[in-house]
Amino acid sequence: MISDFGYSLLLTALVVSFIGIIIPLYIGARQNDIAPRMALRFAQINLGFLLGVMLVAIGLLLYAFLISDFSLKVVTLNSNALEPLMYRFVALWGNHEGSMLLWVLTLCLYGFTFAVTGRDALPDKLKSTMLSLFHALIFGFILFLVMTSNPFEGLSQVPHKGLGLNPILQDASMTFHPPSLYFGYIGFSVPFVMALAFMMVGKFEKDNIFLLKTWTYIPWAFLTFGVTAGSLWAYYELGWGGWWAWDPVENASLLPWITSTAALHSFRLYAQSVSKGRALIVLLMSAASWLLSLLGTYITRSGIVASVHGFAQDDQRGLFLLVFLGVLVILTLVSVISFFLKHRCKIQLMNQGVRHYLSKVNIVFMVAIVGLLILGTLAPLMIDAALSVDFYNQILVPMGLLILVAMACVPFFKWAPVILGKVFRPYVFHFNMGLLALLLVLYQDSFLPSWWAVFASLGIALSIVVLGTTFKEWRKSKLHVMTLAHIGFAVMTLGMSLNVLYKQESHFWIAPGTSGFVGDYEILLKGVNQDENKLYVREFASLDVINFKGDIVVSLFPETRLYKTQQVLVSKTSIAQRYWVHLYAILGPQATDGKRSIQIYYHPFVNLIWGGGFLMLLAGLLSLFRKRRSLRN
Amino acid sequence: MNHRSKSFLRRILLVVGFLSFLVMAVFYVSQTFKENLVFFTTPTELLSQGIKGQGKLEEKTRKRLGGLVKKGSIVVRNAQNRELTFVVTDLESEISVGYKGFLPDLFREGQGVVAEGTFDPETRTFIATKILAKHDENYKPPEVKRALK
Repeated sequence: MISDFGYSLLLTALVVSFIGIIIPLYIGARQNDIAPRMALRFAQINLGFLLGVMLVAIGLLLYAFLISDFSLKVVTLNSNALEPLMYRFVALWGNHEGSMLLWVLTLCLYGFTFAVTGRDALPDKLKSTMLSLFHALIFGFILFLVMTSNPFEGLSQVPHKGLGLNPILQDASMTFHPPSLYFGYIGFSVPFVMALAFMMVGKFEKDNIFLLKTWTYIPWAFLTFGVTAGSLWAYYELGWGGWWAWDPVENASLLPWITSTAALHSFRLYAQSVSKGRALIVLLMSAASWLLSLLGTYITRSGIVASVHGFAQDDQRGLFLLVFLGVLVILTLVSVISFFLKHRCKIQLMNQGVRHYLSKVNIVFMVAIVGLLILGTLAPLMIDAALSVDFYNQILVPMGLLILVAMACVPFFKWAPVILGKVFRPYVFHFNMGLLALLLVLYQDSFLPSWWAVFASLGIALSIVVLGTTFKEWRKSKLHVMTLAHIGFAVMTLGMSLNVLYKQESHFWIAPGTSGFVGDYEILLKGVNQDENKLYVREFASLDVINFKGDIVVSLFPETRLYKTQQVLVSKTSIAQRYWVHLYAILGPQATDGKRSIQIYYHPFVNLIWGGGFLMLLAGLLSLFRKRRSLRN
Repeated sequence: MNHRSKSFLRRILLVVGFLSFLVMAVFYVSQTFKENLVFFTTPTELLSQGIKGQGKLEEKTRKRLGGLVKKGSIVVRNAQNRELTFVVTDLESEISVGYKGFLPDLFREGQGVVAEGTFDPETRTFIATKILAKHDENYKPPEVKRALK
């Protein structure tokens, strides 16, 4: 029943979205005065209707999950009536089909919002063309749902109970982490459609930049939040003691983040001095973010890459996404070439301020990072191999350090030509602070430092310089979006570097009643107990953390759970915060002699990493409240 | 030497400088890429290769060995140094693995495991430098699934 109704909703949406591609183009092509306005109105109404249909569809699926209707395949495979309400709710997007339905809904939401806002900012004809293109994107994804991943697929024999949600997804952060990532990825569809339309008609005005900027900042803020939350989730849920693994899924989320950041920087470059060449950079970066979001979807959904997150799926889905992505890439290339030929964009070497060059180099740098990430993620697949994380650490980390150097110089590298010695003078103090920090850190590690420790020390020093110079900039004038975002980035890199340099790991094999040491703390294993509830059997250790005075500071209870229906083992870390330090415990296996493996991580300053991400999110939000036409934010 | 040829020279220098930088960057990236590439393998594959290519290239290259941790095979050799040995099986062949260091949280008897390291054909043991934890749709890493096929 739900199955048939849901599927017919999808088919309806498929037809409606197809109509939305054709009709606005058809009406818009007529030669009379009201035709463009009519085409626009039609596209708006059509998108509204589509949004309505998708809302009903997702409501229907949610209802099926909440009442545990096992006549649907996705419900049976991903839900269990015994699970708490929250996990039956998040199961909606805790599986491939449901999450793709959420994807389409989000796409419709963005499309509709874009269609009905920004009155008269764009000519009617251009906007109706954009909406027509947008319908094509929606059509592609609904076709994907219908052909390869129908969430309403029924089961001929209705089982009595479901398999339950993937245990590693049974976590509170699942309520906001996937939707915020989706609002990030999918939001780039709007700048993509705009950029493509601008390139096709060959016109791009200075005023258009403000609209493009708003529609880039919104998904950028969501994606920043999503990536940060993802890192936090991996940190405490996957239990390997780190916050970033250069995992394919993580890389996939980073790709559009970097290009959209590059797009935000290109907007300022363009606003400083308008030229067609710079317009091309703006449009290309805006289009790239959406294409890379799709590449990320392809990587995660096709299951071609072995990943810790692995929503691994079958080849047919991958093929569909690859073809869809291919079509869009070709479309983008054709538009780029036509725009280029029309305007003959030239590279000019004029006598401009250093900031112009710095800005361009910065964008080239980000594109290079994206290229390296794609290489590292996809190339090993071709030869049935894997790339160890050192590849990224040895290449991308030094590049990141160079970016910090540039960021430190932003406050005094001006757009207009200046004498560097003069503008640099007020900032000598901040650079000396950084140098002092570097010497202090290196002095502490007076033993032969590894290249890794040198990177981390440089990271600490440079982050301090960036914070110093950027704060000074803030005090000179009001808080700009860029200033806040740069502070957030530097706080994040400071946290990462401090953590890399000063984290400690201990691994003991101990019997109950004995203890091991980490940092200044003694860890006493009091015992390992077992209990069970209706979902899982649990083993948990009781650990006391004792300081040098002999006082018990905190107790940790790391556990492992064996989920009954799924027959899956999941480990739950136990984390205690002491000032700026996390003490992080993992319960490991039992050896044949009865000793237990306990791992303790001493993680200083990890919170700065997510705090920095949060500041960048605030910067994204701040941009929405700033005057649209101000060039500076 | 007029003004024009001077700016021409500057341009040439700029292009040459940029190109040489590019070549260096590409060289560094490809070198790092090669150094960090590890190939997947299974106990059966490793044993057959070990016999064929004795003392050849095989023992030097880093590999990722996938399979299941054999039940009752985890033996702690030295608790202080965190040395342990265990047996990885693909239900066809078995290889003993020696390891010193941290374990992923889901390292358990009977569960899937991926060990990164080198194979010593003399002693027929795999010396792991890293043990990886992976989660997957069916809760087995693809390397492990491939090994069990």
